[in-house]
Amino acid sequence: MTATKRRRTKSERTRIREKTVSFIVLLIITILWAFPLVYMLGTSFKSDLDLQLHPDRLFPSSWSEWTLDHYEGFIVRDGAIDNMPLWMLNSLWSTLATVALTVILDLITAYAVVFVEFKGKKIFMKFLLLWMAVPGVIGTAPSFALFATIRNSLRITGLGNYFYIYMWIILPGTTGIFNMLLMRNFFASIPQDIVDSAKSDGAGNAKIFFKIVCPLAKSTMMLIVLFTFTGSWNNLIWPQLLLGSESSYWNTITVALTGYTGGSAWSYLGIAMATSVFALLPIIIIFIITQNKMIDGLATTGIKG
Amino acid sequence: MSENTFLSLRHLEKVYSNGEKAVYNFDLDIDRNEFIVIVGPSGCGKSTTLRMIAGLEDITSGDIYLENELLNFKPCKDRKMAIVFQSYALYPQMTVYDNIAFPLTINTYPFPAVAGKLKACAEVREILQKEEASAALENLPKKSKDRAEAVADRLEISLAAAKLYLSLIAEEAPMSKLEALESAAKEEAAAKKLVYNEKFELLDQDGNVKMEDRKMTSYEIRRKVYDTAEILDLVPYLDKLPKELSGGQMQRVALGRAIVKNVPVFLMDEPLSNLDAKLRLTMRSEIVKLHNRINATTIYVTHDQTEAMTMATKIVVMSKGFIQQIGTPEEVYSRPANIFVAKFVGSPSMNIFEATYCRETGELVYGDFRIPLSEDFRAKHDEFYRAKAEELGGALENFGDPAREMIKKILSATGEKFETTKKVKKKGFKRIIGLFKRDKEEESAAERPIAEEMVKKLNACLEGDHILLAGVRPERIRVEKYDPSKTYENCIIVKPTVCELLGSEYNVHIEYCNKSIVGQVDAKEKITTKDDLAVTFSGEDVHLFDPITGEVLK
Repeated sequence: MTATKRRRTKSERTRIREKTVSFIVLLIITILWAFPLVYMLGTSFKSDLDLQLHPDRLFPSSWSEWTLDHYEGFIVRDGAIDNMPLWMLNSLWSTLATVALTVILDLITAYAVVFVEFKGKKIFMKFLLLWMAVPGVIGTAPSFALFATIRNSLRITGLGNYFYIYMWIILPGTTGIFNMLLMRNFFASIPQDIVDSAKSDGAGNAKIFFKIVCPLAKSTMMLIVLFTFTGSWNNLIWPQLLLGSESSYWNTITVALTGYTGGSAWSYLGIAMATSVFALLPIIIIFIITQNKMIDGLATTGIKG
Repeated sequence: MSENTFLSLRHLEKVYSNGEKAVYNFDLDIDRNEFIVIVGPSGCGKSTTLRMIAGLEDITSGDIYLENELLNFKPCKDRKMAIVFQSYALYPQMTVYDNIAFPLTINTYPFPAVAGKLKACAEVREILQKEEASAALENLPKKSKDRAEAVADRLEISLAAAKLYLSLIAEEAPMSKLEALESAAKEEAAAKKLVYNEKFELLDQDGNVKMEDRKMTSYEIRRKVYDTAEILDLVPYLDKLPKELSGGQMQRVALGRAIVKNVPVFLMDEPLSNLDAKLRLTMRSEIVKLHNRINATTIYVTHDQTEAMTMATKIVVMSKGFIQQIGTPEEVYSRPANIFVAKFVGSPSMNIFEATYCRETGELVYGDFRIPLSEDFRAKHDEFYRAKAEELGGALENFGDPAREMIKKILSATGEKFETTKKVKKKGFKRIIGLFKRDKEEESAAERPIAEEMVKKLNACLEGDHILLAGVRPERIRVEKYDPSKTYENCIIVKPTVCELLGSEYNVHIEYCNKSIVGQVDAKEKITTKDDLAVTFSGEDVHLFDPITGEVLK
């Protein structure tokens, strides 16, 4: 190589400049977003003393101040493990049920909307879009009234009541229009020729659905799994409403953890942070599993997160 | 419909839900093993027709018969047809093998019902008696499933027999064990009162072989896929995904998927349009070879008239939803039915010029050209115009949908632009009333003046001189270098505007009477734009078309 360096062309210089600027902007945004999370993580390991003395530090001030007390506080009670595994289980099965049902419903609905001709299709779509504009909170009061009325009139008690409540937690979560639209957009992007050719190869709707369309929709499915999982796992208000008067064994983890901090989270900062970290774990795991596919899904469905 | 017509399309029409009519009265009988090419410019309804045949598009009116069986209401999957798309439409998540195997894995096929155990026993008995059979047992694969398949392949026996054979040779006395099995199977068959022939195919009460619909076994599928892949040279690519293949390979996979279904009718929707020119040429002959090899009946849609000419046994030329002509490539080329076909078929396309027909002298005059016409031409000419004027006049009297369609058909041939009645958007109250009232008068208004004008023009043609469209194929135009010593008759001397060398011949463009004429000359002699050329053509090579209806006169 010669010592003299080639002068970069104008377009190269512009590109480098653009890259640098966008990198800096992204870095700032990332720090802003990540800061509270890191603070949460750090604070959850601080000892009580450190919490009081050094609220300005991200992590405990010295090695001796690191502690797992806050985690122990809500996992272990009286030397034995508390109800934590039970709550985890409650959360997990209800969330998984929500995710599975959502994916299935979204796949079927989107398939019908894109590939099946039926009367009133356009009106159906418009209705769904309209429904998206209605904030979910509006449904809370009527839903609860319905929930209570049905339970009272059918006199559901005991274990039946448990499943009844969880049905009410799971089912409303599965009807998100946004996820369905994601799937619809993806299906609409599948070339019509592929479906036509499957038809002429002898495939009916079921075969096309299972063998052609669903395998192609994997990344969009992952995206929906992530969205639904996060939404369902973090769901607080509605389950709290339904589970509030029931036995504490029935709680989901999100509902149960609020009990540790109550209304005065400020006074139990360590526990509040620890519970938050704990509640975040499954979501982080799901994100790590789905992230590759998810980026794929975002690209193919044409939405920007 | 004649008895031996294979595929019959009767008066097919397609109206889309937005009211646009894409195909008018498509009528075609197809014999077995024919290679039909539907050709036309884009948007002429050719793909729509194909999709209607395939069952991907609803038929608005008309019937499709396959071997005298009505197909209209059969879903696409039951039509015994294979379709190849321009975009190949390979399933992106499947390997080439799975793509080809897909139709086989999901369909059931009729097979003769077989007494399986007895057949296997008989086959194994034959093998056990042979000395050299044990050679087939060398170097067997490790997996037990693969082993049986390998044995079946080598000894050319069924999979069940191969499995039985493998289990028997492990025994000490295979023959006696086999006999025990065979007699047990015979007893079982006798208990069920099964009747079978020497091939162990089950017979019904009338002595015919019973057929049963069943799915293919994975072994049968594998054999078929490999056979197909071998025909198409795809064996090395069977494990690849479609995105790893080149265009030509993808095209072959799409063809393979069609072949493997073993159906009598092939539909192809511009399958070569996405390939580069050279590959297109080879694939063109490949497809024709394949067509002949598997004795298929093919309907091929294309916008490329070269493909149509080279591949077809019968060409259907379409324009704006109407069939313009049906015929063999020679017919369509040398005897075009109307001006559209004449212009569309052939490359470079036919030279068309507006020549004047002199009634008195019976000559066609164009610039300095004087082309004498035969004696009976005048009579033919008069008869033609009288009939046409009568036909259109009759239509005018009772101007309904058929008459409008007739006008549209004429316009589709002449290629004249025709604006369909644009509905004036009414506003407010009038619009609501309009929803309940259908104004027939208004709709037909647009075609009526055209028809009236046509009748007027046609009648005018019966007397006096008028213009006819004369067409001459480029290769029929005789072009030679001007030699002052020679005398030329009925010839024009011009300088060419452009000379295109194609290798073996020139395309010579000349400007005459403000009209560009293309002639083809052998490239033995060098021609440049500076040379004077003597240009002429013979009266025999002139096609004459009526400028009003576009139909051929001669």
